Amino acid sequence: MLIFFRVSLEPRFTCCLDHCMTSPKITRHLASYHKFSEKERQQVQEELLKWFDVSKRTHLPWRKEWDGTLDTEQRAQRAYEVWVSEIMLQQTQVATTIPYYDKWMQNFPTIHDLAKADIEKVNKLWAGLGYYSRARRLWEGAKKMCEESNGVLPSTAKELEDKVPGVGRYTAGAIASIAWGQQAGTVDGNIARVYSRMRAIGGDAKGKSTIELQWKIADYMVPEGRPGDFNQALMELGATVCTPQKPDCKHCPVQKSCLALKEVKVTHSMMKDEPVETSTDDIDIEECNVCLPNNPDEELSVTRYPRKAIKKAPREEECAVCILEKRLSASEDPSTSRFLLIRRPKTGLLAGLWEFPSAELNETLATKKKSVKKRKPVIADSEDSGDDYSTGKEAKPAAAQILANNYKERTSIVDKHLEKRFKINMSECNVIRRAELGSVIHLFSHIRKTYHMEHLVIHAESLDDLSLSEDMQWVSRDELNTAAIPTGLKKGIKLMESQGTAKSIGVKSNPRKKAKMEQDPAAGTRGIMSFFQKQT
Amino acid sequence: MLEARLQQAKLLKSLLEAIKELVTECNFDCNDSGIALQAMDNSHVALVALLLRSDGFDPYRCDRNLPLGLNLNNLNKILKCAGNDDILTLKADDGGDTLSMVFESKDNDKICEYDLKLMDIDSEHLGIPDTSYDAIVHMSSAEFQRICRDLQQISESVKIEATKEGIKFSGEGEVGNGSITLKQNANVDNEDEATKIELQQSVSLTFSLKYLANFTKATPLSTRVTLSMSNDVPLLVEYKLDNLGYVRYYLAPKIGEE
Repeated sequence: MLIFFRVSLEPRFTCCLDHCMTSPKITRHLASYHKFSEKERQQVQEELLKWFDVSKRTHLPWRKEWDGTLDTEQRAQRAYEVWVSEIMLQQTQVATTIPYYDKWMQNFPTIHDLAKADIEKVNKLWAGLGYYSRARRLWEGAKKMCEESNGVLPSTAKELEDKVPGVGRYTAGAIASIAWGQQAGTVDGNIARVYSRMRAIGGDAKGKSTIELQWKIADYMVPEGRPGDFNQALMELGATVCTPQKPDCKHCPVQKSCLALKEVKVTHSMMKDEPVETSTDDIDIEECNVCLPNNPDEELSVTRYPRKAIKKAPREEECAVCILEKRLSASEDPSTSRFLLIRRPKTGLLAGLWEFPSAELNETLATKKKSVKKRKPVIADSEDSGDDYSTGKEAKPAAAQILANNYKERTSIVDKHLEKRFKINMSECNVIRRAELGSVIHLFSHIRKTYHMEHLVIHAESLDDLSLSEDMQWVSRDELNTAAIPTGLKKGIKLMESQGTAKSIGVKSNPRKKAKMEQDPAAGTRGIMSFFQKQT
Repeated sequence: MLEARLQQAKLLKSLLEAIKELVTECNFDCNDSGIALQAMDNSHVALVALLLRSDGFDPYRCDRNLPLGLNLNNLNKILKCAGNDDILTLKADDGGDTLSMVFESKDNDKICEYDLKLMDIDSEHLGIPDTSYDAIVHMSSAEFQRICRDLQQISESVKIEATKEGIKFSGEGEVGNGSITLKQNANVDNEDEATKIELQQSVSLTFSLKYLANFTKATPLSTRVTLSMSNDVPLLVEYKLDNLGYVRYYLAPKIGEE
């Protein structure tokens, strides 16, 4: 087992070896451990800028030498360029970005050209970069800025963040420092890694307290002169030297101020011989509460910073989906069919997309049966997650499981949902067909959602009274294929197509009579996946 | 890499016939213990699990796990080129993109070589728990095929009832209804025909006949078939391949409309 030792700085604070071996937090340390001293600050600034002048990459079209003599107009143009490049570089590699940036600047040399452009053209130029909302937000931002301030972007990070759509904390800091020469710190993925290592920040990299600490450091470290170059130097260092894997510590300009490196060295020398300096165990004020307990299996290397975020197990959600189709007649003429789509709320998961009427089974349960215990909350607090590294899969509520397996139960829940939400009373409807389609699992980054699909065909006359709100629409089968429906539900359409069109059935429709099961081989049969657990 | 030599191509040919109706594309997972396959049909109602143990081949070599993604229709086309009694050799390289097949005639006077392109298939593996079934019926596979075929004439689905007297298959359709009952017997003279029932509890389940009829495409592989059932869990239809492995089909029961 390898143990890391915190390098003690002033105020002197070391703990005894026993404590190190037993404590989950490998060495407790003061919050001040993560701070740069004024002397270090100047040293880092100097060395980093010196390094940047010599070894920066020069082939990046958006990179221009800082020029203090620019007037406001020229500087605003710089701000536009920096803005475009920073937005493009989000989630995209430098090499990919360069041709897009050049093409963009040829087509929209100034912010005014962009504001006047057609969104179609903007999207076309963006095609291939992905995350298209970035292009739309740039365009919206350009329009807003041209209307409000004649195309001049704000010069402070705060205003940039507040006023320009799509500009977050990081981009704001970058534009303010690089284009406007403001003394504004910024933290992107690269900078976060550099600071995490230099200051040995062992907190969950995605944790709030870790991020706050990094911003605090960034704002403190940025110099008054050449703030843009300093920020770019940090990014450059992260991109070329202080890389996620195999950092090139030997060629790092700030290795002297790197605590991660120092910890490795100290640990090495202590493993060899020298006894550990011991001191009392009394814990002072302001103990660091950002860092997580140590992972003893970790390799002895600087790459243990930044600490990888602990992945939470995805939440299980079950949902009964009813593909509601209305037909003019019982005959299988697809052209007369219309499907009901509901728009999802403007915020949250899959915001604004269209879906079939669906009832969340988990919610239904929670409201229906108070006795059903809600999920055990996962301890995600960075402070006292203790040994809770492997948060296992959350237990699925037993009742939801039962519901998931029982089509009859689900149909009654769907019936209630239809009545409550749309005032469709199933007992008065002339049902042409109702069949289970099977279950589809769709993985979101944080949710494992199971859609239990059914196909319900109702005689159009029964639904004449249905009043459509803005968030509801009837679409044809063809429109269904092109509508903005989440991928998970599209699988449901496929299921319906593979089963539904098999053969025509001349069921004489009789009002108030129960639907006859479809004569499809798979109809009425539960999906095999509901019996067997999926393996990963 | 994989190298597996099968004395009779017939086995693989029949296996393909037994599963290609249900599954169009899937991974053959090869490892040192043998070749396995697990796949659901398109509508995710039925599941096929197949195992060919390594000792059924001579020689068999596969050092590390190697998934072979194959389109079964294309594989079947190539296997049709093999004679029933040909010696068949399967070969694939680690990280390669083809499956090589060599068919040698029994007299060693003709050698055919075919390469089939592999594909990348995302497979979802389902963990199948060991279930102790309430009723396990061993019967003639030809008889089971016959029953499915006959009942399919009048009905879409079949109700299977297993009691200690015997097993009853019944169907009901627009033209009428019908049923076949096999009594538990110990036919000493002809073990292949005997119907044996291991019963903990009587069961009654309804299944889609279309799928069952599809499963009986495996009939040439074995003279016997085993139906394992418990109420409200999938039916297991198993064909054993003479100590070499098995083909298992799982089908979820129909719900409602009893």
